[in-house]
Amino acid sequence: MRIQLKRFVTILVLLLGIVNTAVGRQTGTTTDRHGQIQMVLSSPAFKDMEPLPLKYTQTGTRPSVTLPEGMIGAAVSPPLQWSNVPQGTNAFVLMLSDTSDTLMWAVVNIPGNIRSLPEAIPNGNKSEKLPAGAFQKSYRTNGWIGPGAAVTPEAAIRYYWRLYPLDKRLDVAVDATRDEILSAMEGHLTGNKAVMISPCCYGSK
Amino acid sequence: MSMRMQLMRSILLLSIAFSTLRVSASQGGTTGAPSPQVPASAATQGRLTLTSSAFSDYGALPLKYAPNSAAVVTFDATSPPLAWTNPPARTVSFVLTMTDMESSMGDNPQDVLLWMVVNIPNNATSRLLAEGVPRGRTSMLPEGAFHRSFLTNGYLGPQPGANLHSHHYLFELYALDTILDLPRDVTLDQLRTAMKGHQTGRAPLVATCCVASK
Repeated sequence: MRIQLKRFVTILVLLLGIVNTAVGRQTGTTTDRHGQIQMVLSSPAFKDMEPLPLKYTQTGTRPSVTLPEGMIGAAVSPPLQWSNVPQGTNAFVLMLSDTSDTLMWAVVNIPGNIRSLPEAIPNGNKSEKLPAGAFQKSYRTNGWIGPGAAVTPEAAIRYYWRLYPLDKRLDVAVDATRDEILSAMEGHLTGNKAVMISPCCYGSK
Repeated sequence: MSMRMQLMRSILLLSIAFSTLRVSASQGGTTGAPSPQVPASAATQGRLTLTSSAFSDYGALPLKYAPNSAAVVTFDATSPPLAWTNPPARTVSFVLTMTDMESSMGDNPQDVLLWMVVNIPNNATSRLLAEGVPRGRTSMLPEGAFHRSFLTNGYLGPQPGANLHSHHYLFELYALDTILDLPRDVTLDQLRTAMKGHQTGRAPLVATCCVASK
């Protein structure tokens, strides 16, 4: 009896989902449960899943081993833009992590009406290039640090961009870790993340 | 009472499942036709490398591995074949995970776990997963290994939301210096906690699905 009931509910819910999908395909305006379409992150400077240009890397601008803690090299942050923002989004967090979950860049508390970040945001949180109220950091600087992977194929690694749409600004310290930022976002996503992957630095130009 | 709780539990699980079915319009996508510029063969020398004979790194996951509308209902999906080379020194076992990077579960930021295979022993004959590991069984897995998704005891695969706007699917192989002592209903968070301090290597493989998939 219990199993039958569970099974019935399972099938019912799944069928509803499929009908929803089919209707959306016909109209071309299918929405998710938040009433919005999939958010998309892109850059005018590089494509998803293609090598990150060298100007954005430590590798292409200055060897990472000489970079003192807290300092930024000559690498500049890349321009980014996004669209199809879920309804009810009041803030964004952008994170770039490498294959080992090292936090290469976080821009926290980007206001919900912002749809892009300009190229070359200076370190620190006072520049007008940084959206008002937002702050930025990497695992060892207060701004963009840039990938430092070598240009040889065996040393190439990949970097994962994730843009999180949130229903509120986060109450986290400006030196919060990746784990702390992730924990603070729990329960506050308004829809799917937007994702890009940047291999670096084999093939980067 | 127990029945009611069971029922509530299944409804909860199902609503979580459906939160991943983020259906979307196919406009402005960045994932339509990926053109990887990093030749996989060039990057494979010397370090732990995960590959599939069915798709290339940064390529499209074949539709065969994405459940159709009938298979979604029964949670039956065919897992893709995977293989790996160059295990680092001190490697005792491997863990394979597959996550949907776009989807979020219950308004939480974590990527959604579509498959994990835990405790694959490191020996020369078991550095692969054959296609189609059956749900709920371990007979096709090496002795001691088990598998599950966030929802089922097997491979779940891309969900229908990815049919209208491709998602990024991240396969990751973790090489570990130990066998993990974990329950078979382990969550991704618990798995990651258990793996801390035990990794001897980690290898990614990325596929998109399903707009460009065939």
